Amino acid sequence: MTGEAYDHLMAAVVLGVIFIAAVFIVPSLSYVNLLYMEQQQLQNIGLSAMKTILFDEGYPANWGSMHGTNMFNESDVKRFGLADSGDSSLYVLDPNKVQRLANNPLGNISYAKVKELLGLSGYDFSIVLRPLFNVARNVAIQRATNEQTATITWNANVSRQDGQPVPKAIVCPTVIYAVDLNPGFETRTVQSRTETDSLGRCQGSTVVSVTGNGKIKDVIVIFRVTVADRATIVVSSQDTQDPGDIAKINVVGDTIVLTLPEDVPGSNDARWITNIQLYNYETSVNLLNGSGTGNEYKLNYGSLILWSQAFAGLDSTEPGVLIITFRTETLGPGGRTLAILIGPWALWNQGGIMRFNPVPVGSGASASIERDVIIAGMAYVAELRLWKS
Amino acid sequence: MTEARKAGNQRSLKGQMRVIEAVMASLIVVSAVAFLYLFAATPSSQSQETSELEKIGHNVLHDMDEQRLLTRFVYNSEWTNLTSALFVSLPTNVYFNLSIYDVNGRAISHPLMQYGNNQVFVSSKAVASVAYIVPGYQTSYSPRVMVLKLVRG
Repeated sequence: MTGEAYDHLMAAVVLGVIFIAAVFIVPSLSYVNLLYMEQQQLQNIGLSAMKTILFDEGYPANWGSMHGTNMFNESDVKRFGLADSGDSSLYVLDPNKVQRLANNPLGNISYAKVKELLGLSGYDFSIVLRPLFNVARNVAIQRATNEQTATITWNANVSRQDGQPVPKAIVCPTVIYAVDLNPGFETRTVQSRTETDSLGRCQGSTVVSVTGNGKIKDVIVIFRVTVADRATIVVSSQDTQDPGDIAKINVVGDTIVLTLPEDVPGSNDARWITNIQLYNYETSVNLLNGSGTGNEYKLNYGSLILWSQAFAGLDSTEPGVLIITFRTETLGPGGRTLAILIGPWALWNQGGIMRFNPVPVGSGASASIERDVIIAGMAYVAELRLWKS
Repeated sequence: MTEARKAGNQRSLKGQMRVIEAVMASLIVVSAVAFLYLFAATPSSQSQETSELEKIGHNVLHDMDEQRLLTRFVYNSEWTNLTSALFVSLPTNVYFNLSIYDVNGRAISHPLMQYGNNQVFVSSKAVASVAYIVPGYQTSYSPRVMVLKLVRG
């Protein structure tokens, strides 16, 4: 009788083990299919989200600029989309909306709000905007002790995103230097042109000089790199101070908005706008010449934290690089000096990439969708990456 | 007593047999399920992949057209520029082959505009083909049909 009970007990245990093993083994047999299905599901949701982001202009249609130079309020955005409402073509994005994705002193749209408007609960995503190709560059600036001559040596390496070199790319470096004429200020440019070799490399140097009482202050180099007339812009400088610590540059419609950053080194010191130029590769237009003193063109802690001025037709100037020269305090000894800033695009800065919610390190399955887009007349790659929360 | 022990042994053997039967039955069921999974239809990725490549191809041609580069390249026979523009604009793992035809389907003479060797296009299971029409250049009406074949490497 006892032996029989043991037999039944043993049978129950063995069957239990077999059942549990089957529960784990059978799904693992279809794991590849399940993984594939999940990937496809992510891809489909990503495609749908990307379509909304690129083709929908959102509501209100001008949500990126609807608050003008006032503080942006994201709760007024009822539908999300980056398409340019003034352009019927596909894949053309509104710069005013794209600027709201970046950290913006006039207010930006939060990741949580975009996620809610896109209906992506249960998922997370990131949006990356980058140039069509990589331009790794290096600039060395050597100033003479009297500050009347500067030798600028540069090299650039043009490659695709996978590192494959791009030969015969046309590289046009534009050296921009601020001159303290004492009295007066000036921003001057020197342009050159070269081609990349079979390894995608090129280099060159330029000597700039001033005479009389003039002194060369800040120097930056804008690289315009063109492959088959598809162009990208990157900027190089030898800044001892983060340009963002001097001022933040934004454009809302036709209005240039400059704001004083808070809680950065020297944030309490005044800055004077000495010059604003609109640079369009072949031409540069002087928009404003400041005096370098007085309150009219001044950014200061307190009531002058924001400066704005409208320039007719600025919005329709595509592509337009703003070169803004400030008279500002240096962090080191030497008193006030001139500093050049490039705006309004973060894409033109040293990093050359704009990210909206970075991808978490070590995330699991994700879908990635890339599309070429046009922002302010220039081609970029927009990448959406989607993964489960 | 001996009879009772014999009966007990017989029941014990029966019990063991049942366990063995149950194990064998379970193995049969599990192997049958595993066997069926071998024949389970895997969802096809080719149509999805082709559709995505078509979207990428159309997107790139459209953007070049939007920047007024496409018509210039085609009508001024700037074939090297056209190939280079596609090379930098398409994702790095996508190979392409471009052919151009007139409205009657006659091939326009041009050098090979391709990235990736022929074998890639022959061996790939998912080749996307995008047809894009450009109507003319400046004031002249002379439509060209661009056929862009894409495969993922």
